[in-house]
Amino acid sequence: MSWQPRVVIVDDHELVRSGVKSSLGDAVHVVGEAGDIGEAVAVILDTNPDVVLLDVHLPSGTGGEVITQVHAEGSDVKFLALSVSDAADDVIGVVRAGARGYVTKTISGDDLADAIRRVAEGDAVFSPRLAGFVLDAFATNEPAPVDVELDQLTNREREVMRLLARGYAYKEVAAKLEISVKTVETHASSVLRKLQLSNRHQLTTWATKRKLV
Amino acid sequence: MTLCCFGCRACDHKEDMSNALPPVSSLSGFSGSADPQESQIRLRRAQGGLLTGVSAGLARRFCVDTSLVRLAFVVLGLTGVGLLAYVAAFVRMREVDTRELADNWPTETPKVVGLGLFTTGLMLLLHRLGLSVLSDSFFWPVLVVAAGFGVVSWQLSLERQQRLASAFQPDSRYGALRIAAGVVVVAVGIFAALAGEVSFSALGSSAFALVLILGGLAVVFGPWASILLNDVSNERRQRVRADERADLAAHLHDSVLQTLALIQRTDDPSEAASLARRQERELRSWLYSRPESFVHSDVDLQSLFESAAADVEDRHSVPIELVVVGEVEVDDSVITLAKAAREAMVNASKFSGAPQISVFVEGEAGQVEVWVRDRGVGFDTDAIDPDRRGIRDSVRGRLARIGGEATITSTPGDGAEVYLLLPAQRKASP
Repeated sequence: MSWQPRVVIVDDHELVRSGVKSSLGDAVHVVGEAGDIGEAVAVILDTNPDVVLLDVHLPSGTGGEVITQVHAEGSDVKFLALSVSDAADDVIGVVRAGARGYVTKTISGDDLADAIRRVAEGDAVFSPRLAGFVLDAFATNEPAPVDVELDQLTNREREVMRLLARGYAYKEVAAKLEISVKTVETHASSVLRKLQLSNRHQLTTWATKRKLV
Repeated sequence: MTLCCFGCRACDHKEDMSNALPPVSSLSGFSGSADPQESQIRLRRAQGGLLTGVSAGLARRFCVDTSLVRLAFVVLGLTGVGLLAYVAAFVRMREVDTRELADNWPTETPKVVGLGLFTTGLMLLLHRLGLSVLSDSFFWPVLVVAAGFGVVSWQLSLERQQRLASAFQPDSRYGALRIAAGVVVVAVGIFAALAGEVSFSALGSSAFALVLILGGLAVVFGPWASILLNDVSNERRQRVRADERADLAAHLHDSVLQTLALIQRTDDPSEAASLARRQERELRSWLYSRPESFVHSDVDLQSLFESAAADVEDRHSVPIELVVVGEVEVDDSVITLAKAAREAMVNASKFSGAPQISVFVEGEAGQVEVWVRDRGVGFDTDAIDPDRRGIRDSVRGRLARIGGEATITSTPGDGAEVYLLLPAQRKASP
């Protein structure tokens, strides 16, 4: 790989950090590690990496708090949430806080490296499950929202999400819909933006309820 | 007599059980036959009775509530006959029955308190009406004893925290009721007595004095009682917490520790992976409180496909990434659909050689769509052997029977995808 994104890994388990590091190999350049919120904020502001790999559950709080604090400092570092949890409120919570994507720890090293690169380049990363949550949250049979533009997915975006939920990679989505990969990335980014900005359904509440279903 | 004894057996059942252990002390001075029938007929005082165990013994013998017997003695006692009867019974019942009383003294407390209060009130009333056989010189001491009896019982019960708590629990609400009734009777009696001795104008100030006394008692005993009640609830909370921890430990032991032990023992990496995966899934569903084993009636789309995917995963050791969106009512058609989808997952696991299978289920407005996708070797869809029962019967046939359709797309070398559609308008369940 010609270009190595600079990465900080935030996880309270050292074993997980070293495991992630070794499975990424030399696809990325790990410039820092942290085990809790305070440490993470300091390391991130200090090293200014391209991407932060962020665990959702940290001692003393959530990954979302790290994102909020770092962004409050004026930094525009990009975050990729990496967690063992795929509970809806965890996923939605951290994405709402500003993470550019969400992958679970069962992801393969190559896919993770790919996801990191994608986030570093400004794209959104959807695991099939995250795409599923998006589809659920923006389900069509809900009452009409106030902010129509922001609170609805276009048909194309919905199609893209469904293919991602079916386990398609971006380039496979592009081939299937006969559009360019760049267009798929644009759709994914705009869906992520809607997810982060939308007030619709009080998303986090929705997610919490969803968990109990 | 004998008849009654047979009749008594049902209510005596518990005591018979404890009687299985030879009551050592009761055998001293008792040379009767070992025949249990015989021992039933004998009148024996009960050990641990309220006074001498006469009432409890009689109650056990005649299979009635002990309180009733005591009440009878009290009422008769007020006419003098009861006292004689009691002494006679005591003399007659020389032997002591050591079997544990079913309604033991401490648990009896509310009844006893009620009895004491009731007696006090009754005596006051009778005295007021001039019906008492006791002369005044006897009346007041007996009254004080009866009232004191009630109070002492009450305090004894306070010392037994849990019993105190249980006195206020629904199952013994009759105990509380009895106390309340006793209090009312006493109050009426006191007022009746006072009304006779003093004028009505003084009654008001007497009532005021009474309220003051009660208030004083509440102030004195209130904190104490509340501390005791607090202790009880603290204790209960701690017990709940301890139970929870024990549950947690038991669950972790049964699941995680066992699986870890299995993984350490196995040499086959794919088996280790499948064990780990299954454990992860189980632990996840436990943590996020999705019922691990569900009853059929509240199966939802999610859990239905989850269990199908989990089953295939366990059998074929290929991870399945399952995403379920939306919600539909699960009927027989949907269950059939899940079975077909399961078959598609099995095929993908067995033949595709893909490291992972993606399953996406979307339910909306009664319609359910399922995609089962792998990135394995793929195959030529035209070349499917018509004898392949898996595809023909298990997938296509099933879907056709419930009014759905199955589409299989695949390119050799580029994996396969099975698409199953169950429309909202479908045939009646097969």
